[in-house]
Amino acid sequence: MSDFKEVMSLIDKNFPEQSLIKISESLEEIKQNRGIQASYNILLRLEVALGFRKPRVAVYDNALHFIGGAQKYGCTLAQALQEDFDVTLIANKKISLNQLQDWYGLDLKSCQIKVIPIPYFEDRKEGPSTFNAGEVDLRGDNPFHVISLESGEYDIFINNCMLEMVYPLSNVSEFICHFPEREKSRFFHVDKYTHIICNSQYTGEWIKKKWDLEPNKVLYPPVDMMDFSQKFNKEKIILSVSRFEPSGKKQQLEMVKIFERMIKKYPQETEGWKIVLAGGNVDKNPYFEKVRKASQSLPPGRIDLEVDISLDELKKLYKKASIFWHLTGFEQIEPERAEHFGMTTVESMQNRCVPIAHKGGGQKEIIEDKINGFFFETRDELMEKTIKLIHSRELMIKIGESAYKRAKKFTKESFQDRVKKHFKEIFIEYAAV
Amino acid sequence: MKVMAKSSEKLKQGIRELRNRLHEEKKNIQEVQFLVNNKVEREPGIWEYDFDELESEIWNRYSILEKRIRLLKRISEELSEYSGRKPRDIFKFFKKLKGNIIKQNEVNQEELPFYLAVMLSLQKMKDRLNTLEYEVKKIKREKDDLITEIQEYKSKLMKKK
Repeated sequence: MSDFKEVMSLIDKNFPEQSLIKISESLEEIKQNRGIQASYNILLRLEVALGFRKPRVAVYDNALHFIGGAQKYGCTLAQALQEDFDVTLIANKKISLNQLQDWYGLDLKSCQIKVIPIPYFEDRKEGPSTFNAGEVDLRGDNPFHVISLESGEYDIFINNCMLEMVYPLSNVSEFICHFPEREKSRFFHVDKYTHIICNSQYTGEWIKKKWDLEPNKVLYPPVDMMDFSQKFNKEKIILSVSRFEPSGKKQQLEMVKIFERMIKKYPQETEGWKIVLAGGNVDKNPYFEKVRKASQSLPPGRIDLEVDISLDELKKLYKKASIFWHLTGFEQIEPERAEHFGMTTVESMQNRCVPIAHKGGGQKEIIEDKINGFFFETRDELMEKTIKLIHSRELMIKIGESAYKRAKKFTKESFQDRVKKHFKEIFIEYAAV
Repeated sequence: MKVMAKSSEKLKQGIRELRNRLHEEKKNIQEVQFLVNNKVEREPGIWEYDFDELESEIWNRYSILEKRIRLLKRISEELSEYSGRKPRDIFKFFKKLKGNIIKQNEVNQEELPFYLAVMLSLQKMKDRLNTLEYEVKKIKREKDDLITEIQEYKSKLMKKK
């Protein structure tokens, strides 16, 4: 019999005093054998099993103070759970619930927020913008144990930032992995988690390869760009939405070059068509400068660079665009440089754009080739498939509609339903007497 | 019903008190390993070793291998003293196994220094890259500072004009 069941069997509601004495004795024994946390966890579980309180859930993200896809993932998950659980969002830097709600358009009114600074990073001269685990001195102490200690205060601890250095102390622990970035080190604790959840099968495969661990569940990220209107007026626009990353990972420069080649090779077909590159940018970004310079070689009106535009403006762009290009991972060898999932591809599909994406990474889980989008592997293939679509308006509408239907699978509602189902299963097992 | 509700409340209070007590106790134990009565850190991976650790690890593995060979030798000698078909078969088996391990050990002895050299050169490359990265960051910072200064100077000049 498990320790929890054994303690549970000592409870006689008619004789609470005697029950408490017995529980206390039993917990003392467990403490000696398995440590104080094990005893503490039994009491946490008892409270939930006896219906004295809701289960407490912590969602930890070391980059919660930044806008990001992974952070949106964690916050959407928190929103889905706040009704049935007491949810606390744990951050390392000051951030408010209002700010998170504004960033992601979510309602987090029943959640709480807790900021736990990490002394290792705070003590540095250059203030921490990120709490990058890659900078940790592996010969010293694990700086993330301050979060490990906190995890022991909850029934369920969710590590949303794939920070493998946090040792989970809670009864149930969920490790959400957006990609296994680092090798196993002295502070590697992912194998201690109850479940490993990944954002795509592609990520799951790399978890197996890199860490030799089996993920338990794939939970595709929530994509919330669905156009519910029946009226849509598509224009001659090829759209790309990606951050202008200084590393050039998103390949906007390549897109400009390919588009230039395309309008030279197919001048008649591409007449009136333009490419729009939308995305966030950072100050003094040399890659963006390259893209800007390259764009000047195109005829006027054939390219727009839309930097740091608002959500409304982005929605309008998606609504107008006919074709969506996605080149991340193109001609790359490292798995990190492939798209782990591809949220913007789904966003485009939710607006009836036809995606043409590089065949690799998580894109293969979104697009079904020739049904609701296209894959390409070479520049010529990308141009040919684009021209094929430009030629046939019928094909464009047909694939666009099909993409729209497919994209419903990845909506926020669908994500939250799956989250609720997963955690309901956990709760049933956890609270079972 | 009232009695049941009262006793349930007592139980709730009692469990909470027990938990608070443990919570206070836990506060004084700020080490994860002492909370779970177990070692939590893994052994460092080979890539985290420095030169001395790498060398000692290799010799350590040699000695384990040699210890195993000695053990096998002893077992096969002991077995040779027995007669009959089965012990003879076992003896042959161990003899063969011993031969293979000795051969493997010879190969290892030849190969390991090579791998050691490769690993160390990789480690040195890694260190060098880290240093270069640091230098690049430093230069970039200096460049940014310089640009800011130039811009400030320019704007001052403009104002003067």
